[in-house]
Amino acid sequence: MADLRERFRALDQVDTPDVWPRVGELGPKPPSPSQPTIARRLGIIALSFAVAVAGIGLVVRALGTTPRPVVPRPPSEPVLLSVDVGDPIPVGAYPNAVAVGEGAVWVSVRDAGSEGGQILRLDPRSGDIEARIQMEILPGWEFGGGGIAAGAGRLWVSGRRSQSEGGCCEATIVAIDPVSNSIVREVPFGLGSGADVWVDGDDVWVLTFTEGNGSMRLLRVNATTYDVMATIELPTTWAQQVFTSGGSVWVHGTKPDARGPVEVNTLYRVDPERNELVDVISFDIQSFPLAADDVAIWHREIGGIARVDPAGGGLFVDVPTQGEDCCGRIASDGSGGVWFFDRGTPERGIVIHLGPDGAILAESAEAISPVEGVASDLDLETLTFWIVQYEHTVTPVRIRLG
Amino acid sequence: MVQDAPVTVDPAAAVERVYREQGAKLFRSLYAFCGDRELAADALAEALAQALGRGDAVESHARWIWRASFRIAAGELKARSTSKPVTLTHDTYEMAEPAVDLVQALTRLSPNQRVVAILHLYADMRTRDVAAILGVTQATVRVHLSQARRRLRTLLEDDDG
Repeated sequence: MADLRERFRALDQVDTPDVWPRVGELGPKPPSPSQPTIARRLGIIALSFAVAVAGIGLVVRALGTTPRPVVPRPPSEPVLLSVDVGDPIPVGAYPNAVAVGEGAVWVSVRDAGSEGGQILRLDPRSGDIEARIQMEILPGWEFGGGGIAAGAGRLWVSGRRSQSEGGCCEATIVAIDPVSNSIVREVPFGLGSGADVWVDGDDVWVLTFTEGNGSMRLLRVNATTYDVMATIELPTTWAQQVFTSGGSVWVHGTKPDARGPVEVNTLYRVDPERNELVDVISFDIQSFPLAADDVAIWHREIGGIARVDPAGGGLFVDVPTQGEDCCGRIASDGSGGVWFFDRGTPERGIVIHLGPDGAILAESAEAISPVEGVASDLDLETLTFWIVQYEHTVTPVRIRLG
Repeated sequence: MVQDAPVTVDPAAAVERVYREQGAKLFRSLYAFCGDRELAADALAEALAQALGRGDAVESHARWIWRASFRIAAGELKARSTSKPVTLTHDTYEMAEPAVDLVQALTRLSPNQRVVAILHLYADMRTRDVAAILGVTQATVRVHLSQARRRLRTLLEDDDG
């Protein structure tokens, strides 16, 4: 096929009308709000072009080299998988977050009508409940099943503590010792609410809603001293995920300063060397949830799933899925690939494992009924998706070869 | 590449100069974006009229006109249908087949992918200029451009086959 630029040269053959006389008929149009509809529409139209980052005073850095699109070509037939959807495990009133790490599966279970509840510790193989830790603070519902993370020898739980005068609220994070299953520290951050949390090395990255939920902050907490090492203001009013990838810290939220019922479709990249926001990438559609590890970020696309290279910023792989709305639960494989539930139909889907280049490494031999939920995490040791249902239960979905 | 008219004391002359020098390319770009000659002409005329109305309040006439005309075209498309992709109008019979194939393939892209591909691959703008016109970051442009290239290659290969 000819070079794409050459293909575009075909447009030079399109006849062009002389519109200048029409400009004269329209006449100069002053930029006043009382002008005809097409001028007023200009402001609304702006949304369709993702005019998102103007005016935020952001230093935008060019990222790496030119993207190298890769057309996925499976090197051989995919490995066939069997998928065992386990019995739902009753865990309590309202489970809303799950994290795997520090030798256990951890589930946040809120009481009805309370900020508190329990953190449950589950055996990653049997699913048995090994411990219940009473909590006054647990993650909220509103940011999509995050807010707990295991790492650096602790389980980290974000939330908010109501102030004694009845005011609301103080963002906070609680550190739990996974050996004693007890709370060892609470770190307050000032007015607001804790959102998602991520652990990378000795850094705990905590997203917080500011007071009144007008904006978001990213806090860097030292996992050993519990000191707040940096506070980074973010130009988004809503963010649901924080993670590290490719040497950067990423926040997944709405477009800058977007308000109202808008999509989570934008990545904010923070340079941890300078603790500064350095880049913004917006996608076409709602990209939440996405999966990331050190070398890849996978996100939903129109009719597929796509990978962004966190170091280069370009899109490297775009893989069509059976389901038009792409994915159910999704998780990184820790090596640049991704596991996800492909919704072939609303009733039936399959589990797929893609390699870093988008090749299908494995897929379930038989379609299964989709296991939906409000949150999930993948245990890479046991290859088990732990999926939290909105009320009462957690379901293990175990993946096996053959 | 988009080039601004030289600094002039007469904004109207600057607007006309943009039109004389870049109007054909801009019209074809708009046509490729919306697949409708009349809509493309309307958007271009409207943008030029608005640029004239703004006078010397516009710093970069070329960039402003490109940006405004694409926004206007996008708005018109959106007003016509919020969900259906653009479809070519009947005037394609006047076009050479390669151009029809290309514009048809472009209709299969998302609006962001389409506009980025047109501005970079046809209007020869650098990603930095595309980002400035669309008001997004270069990284966003790269993501859309990469995806647009991949999809266009697939679509045009199918067409070649």
